[in-house]
Amino acid sequence: MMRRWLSCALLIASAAGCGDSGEGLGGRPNSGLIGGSGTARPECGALAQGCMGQGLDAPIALGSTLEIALDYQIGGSSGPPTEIESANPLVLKSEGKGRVTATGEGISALMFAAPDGAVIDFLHVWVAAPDELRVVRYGDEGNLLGRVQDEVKLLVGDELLVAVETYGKGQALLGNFLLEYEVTGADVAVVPDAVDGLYRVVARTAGASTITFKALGLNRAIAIEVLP
Amino acid sequence: MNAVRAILISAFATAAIGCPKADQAKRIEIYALTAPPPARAAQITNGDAAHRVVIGKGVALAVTSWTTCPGSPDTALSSADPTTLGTRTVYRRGMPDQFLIFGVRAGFTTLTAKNGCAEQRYDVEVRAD
Repeated sequence: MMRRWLSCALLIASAAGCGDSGEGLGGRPNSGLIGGSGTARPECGALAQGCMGQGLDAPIALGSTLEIALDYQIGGSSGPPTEIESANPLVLKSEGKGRVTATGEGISALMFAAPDGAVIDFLHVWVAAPDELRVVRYGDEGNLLGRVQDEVKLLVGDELLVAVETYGKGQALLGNFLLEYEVTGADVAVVPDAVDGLYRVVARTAGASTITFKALGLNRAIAIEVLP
Repeated sequence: MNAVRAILISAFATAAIGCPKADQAKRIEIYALTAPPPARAAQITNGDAAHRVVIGKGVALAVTSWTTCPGSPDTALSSADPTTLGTRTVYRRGMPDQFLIFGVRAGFTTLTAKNGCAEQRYDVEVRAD
């Protein structure tokens, strides 16, 4: 009984907002959907056989993981069962099931192989070290609205749908990674969205709070003033 | 007089063009089908003096074979050290003589192309880049 009361008290204290912290997925939301779903463009691979890796439009951030959807077609065939093989596992390591991990800076060819080992197509993928965590805002429809400033003013009840993405030398990087966040103050809450990689920043009461995001050895703090 | 002229013309032509090589009918070479990515090396040289491949670590290059052998004998491509230079067959409808080569680690090795009629060895350098 006593333990239950203690749990309830902790829950109420947490809900009241004595500061908050948590962790989740960082990186571009829905990046696991990279692939040629429905609209295969054969120019994606170097051999123009299929469009594996569509959406790989930037380097992958060192230390992050990327899921490459292997939905593609080749002439006269559905996409066969496909294995991804890395030419340089010190740069990109294939984890199976379409998942690759960026293990070192540089470049590696990713080879998409049929069950008999024959390479259907391939493309080169770069891995770059991130030097910036950037908080970006998305609309409710999932459209990118822009970068969130370091100082933000909200009204009570406002919500921001945000994601934390990596940049290297000003270039947006791909990949998902473990993201930690801390909230100081009780006036703002961070609520992970149902979509991986998205977070709702909710202004609860008037006052000042700071949210600090941490990932891949980088920090980004957003100061939020909630106006009455 | 005409016979002398014909002999002279033939002699000059032979000197200019050169004698046919006995092994000319037994040649196999590989050529690149794709280009390397930006800022990375991948080059195949088919010279009289040397046959050479230079490729960067992690870089892949699709190649195809060319041969003077009659018919279309199957080509095989093999790396003496697969831990330095990897090779794979490429799926291409109706074109069985295409391959992928890729640099695995910096170093030197050899690559051999052969088809049962001809054989050619390439000196390979995989650059760290």
